[in-house]
Amino acid sequence: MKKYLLLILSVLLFVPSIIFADMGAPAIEPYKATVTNKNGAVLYDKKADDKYEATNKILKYGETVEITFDDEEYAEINYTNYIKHSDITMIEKNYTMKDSEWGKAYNALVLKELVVRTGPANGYDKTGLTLKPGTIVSIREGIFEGGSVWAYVNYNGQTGFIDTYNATITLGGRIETRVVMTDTKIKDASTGNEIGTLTAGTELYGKIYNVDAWSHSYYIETKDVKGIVEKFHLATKGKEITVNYSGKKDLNVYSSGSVESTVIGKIKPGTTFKTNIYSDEIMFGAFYYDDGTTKGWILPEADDSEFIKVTGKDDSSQELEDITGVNLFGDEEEVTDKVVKENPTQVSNFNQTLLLVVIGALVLFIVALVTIMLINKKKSDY
Amino acid sequence: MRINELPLIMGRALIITIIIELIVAIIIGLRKKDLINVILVNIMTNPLVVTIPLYINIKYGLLERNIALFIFEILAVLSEGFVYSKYLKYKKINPYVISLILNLSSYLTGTLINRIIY
Repeated sequence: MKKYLLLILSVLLFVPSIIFADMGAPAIEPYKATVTNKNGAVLYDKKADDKYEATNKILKYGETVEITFDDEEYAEINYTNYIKHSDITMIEKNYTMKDSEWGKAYNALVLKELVVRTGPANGYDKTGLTLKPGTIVSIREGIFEGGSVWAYVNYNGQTGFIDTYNATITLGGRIETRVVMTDTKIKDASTGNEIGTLTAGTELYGKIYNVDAWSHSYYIETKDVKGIVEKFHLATKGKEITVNYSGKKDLNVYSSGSVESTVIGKIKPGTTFKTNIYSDEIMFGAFYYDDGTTKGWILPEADDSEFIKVTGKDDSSQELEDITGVNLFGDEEEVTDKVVKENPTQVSNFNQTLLLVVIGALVLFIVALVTIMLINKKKSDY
Repeated sequence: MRINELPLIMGRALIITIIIELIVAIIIGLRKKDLINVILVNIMTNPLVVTIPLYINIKYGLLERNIALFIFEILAVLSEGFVYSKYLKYKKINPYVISLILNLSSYLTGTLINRIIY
């Protein structure tokens, strides 16, 4: 019994590590390529610092590989090793674009110098067009499963495909107000160099753009600042509310929207004050507190949230979560859904196919189970 | 991956899983009708373990998908073990242990084959 328990325990520990090791990553449409280096192609490993290290494995001339991701210089083979583009040649160089796999067109701002290619991967040939930072183009994002990092681009009639990974281009945005929750650097979009600091409490009103899903950044353009900011420092300002604190001990006021910042003041039990709710992707329900003397942040995630009640005009109280459940993740989901929402037919077809596949799997489950029961009517042991 | 490639990918995954589990089942000592049960049990669970986490990934996100995958893998081991306990003629090893061994083997062997090839 102990042995079995140990075995089950080790599986319970083992399985999550396998699964979580296979975290999602930016993807491309896989393509096949042949090793065209007559001396063979060295395989590389990618290290934690994004540098490539040669292994002692070599693929032979003529071998076919499946490329699952690539950058300008290296291509990833089947989610494992890497190989240089110069050692391989793509087998099918003519990309056939299926309209249903690309979203509706919208304008985007080029943030970094971009090479345009004939297909949605670095293995495809260059078209000859290079887009400069600051150029406005029309793009259609790939909407097939896997989170494609490539977009179809149209610049004054010249078309092709561009790599949107690493904040190369804006991918939908809104004009709105965001508040800086914690001090953060702002970087130049094209060079990546730090160009300034945004301090906690600063209100930014202007264009807030998403960039790719993996950079965890926004590109912001206000009248005072322009650049790349990490997502987790900006919050959406919610509505103004009246808050009452009824806890037994003093409530902390922090210097910024982070529990690691300094406590700069205390609020006594029984205090009622007006504020706005601020929400971002990691900290929801932060309140900004200003009584004329102490200006800072109340963080319900850190302190006694059950005693912080929002009170309405009719004096009925609402639970904190009812309010902070709104707008929890800001506008990112609205923006990234923008392309999908504007193509109901494509979304409908995609969803239908997916649902059919799941139903098919359920049907297989039932059929297989019934078959097992039928063929095993008579039992004899050995 | 295009959505219309999904059935092909599922089919390929199922076939590879069945082949590996059959080999291990034979090594363990399963014979005849028990091997048919191994095939059927994989047809029963494998497509669900592949498609439902994928569906969850698309609808809700990666974290939810990973949680779902973990849960479905465990459920697959338990449900296959249950079927084995009811219908396997082979009784030398606990049916749930057989299920665990076969499922682990198919996963690990697949990963190993991938690494050897590339």
